[in-house]
Amino acid sequence: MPGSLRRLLPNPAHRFLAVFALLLGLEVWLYPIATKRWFGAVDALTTATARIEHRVAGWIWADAALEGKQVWLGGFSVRIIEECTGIFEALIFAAAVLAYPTSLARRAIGIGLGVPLLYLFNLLRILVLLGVGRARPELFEFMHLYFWQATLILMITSVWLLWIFAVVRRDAPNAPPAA
Amino acid sequence: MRRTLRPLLEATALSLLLTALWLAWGQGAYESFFAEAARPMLRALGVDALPDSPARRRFVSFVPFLVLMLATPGLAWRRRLGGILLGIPLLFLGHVGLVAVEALSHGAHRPGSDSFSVLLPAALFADALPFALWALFAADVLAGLLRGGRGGRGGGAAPR
Repeated sequence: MPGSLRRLLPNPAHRFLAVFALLLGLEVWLYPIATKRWFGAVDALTTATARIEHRVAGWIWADAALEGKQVWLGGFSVRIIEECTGIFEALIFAAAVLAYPTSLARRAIGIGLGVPLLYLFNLLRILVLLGVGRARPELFEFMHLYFWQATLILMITSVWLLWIFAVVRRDAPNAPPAA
Repeated sequence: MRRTLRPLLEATALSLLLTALWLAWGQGAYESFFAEAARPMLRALGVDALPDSPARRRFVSFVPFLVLMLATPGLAWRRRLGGILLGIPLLFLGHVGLVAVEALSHGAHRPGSDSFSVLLPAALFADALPFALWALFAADVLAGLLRGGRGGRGGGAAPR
């Protein structure tokens, strides 16, 4: 961390926020370029997410079906789009991990474990939505809003805090005890 | 363990309650307020009509922000309330920006532009805004977490 930034922002939380915003800005700038260049990768991820969702739904319900990127459960279906892959969560989480003042190895552990964990949460979220959509369609709007926007940031914050307590503070010598 | 679980359970309960309130009352009230309050700003940005857009589904970002501000342990109540009072108008401005970006990316104001590549980054920023505002207003609590990341330099205390 350059000394000038430390002097300008003496509170470490403000320094974190400045670096986080900078990294997020960088991701926002690079993301459209990357998705245009490697559209196949994004498409493969959405297709894979739909297939995994169909496979897992098939273990629970007998009438799960797949039609392209649309997963059906009886007469109810969800279409897997780019936002359903957890890519936004992963980008925000990665910026938060990279902005945290710790070693490169701990940051790599954070991204290496946190992004798949967020993806698993995301698969679970879609699975719950599928089940709710079929069994209690009147609850679908609430659950969709709750599991999408309302808990998106809470999910990222929880995984980020888990990483801080389980990895960063556990390994750091002389670190204060974790909560 | 209990100290870790309690804020998590509080956050889950609060988010369920606030989402239910948002759908029952908040969304409709905020949409009406937004239509009136944001119109002059959107006009100034070149947006004449308020489209029924996906961006408006992100108006629910008040919920995670409020949950984070209310469920953070160890945050002084004065700071908590002050942060909420300042954060709400900032989220409103974020919503104005997102709606404007979406409307302009689809409209004739940016002929030939790729609306997808314009809207997605704006949506990413809008999604991250509650977290960024929480980090700003809960800076004192967060500072305790951030010290010690490099081997305890500074030796801050962990939040309760």
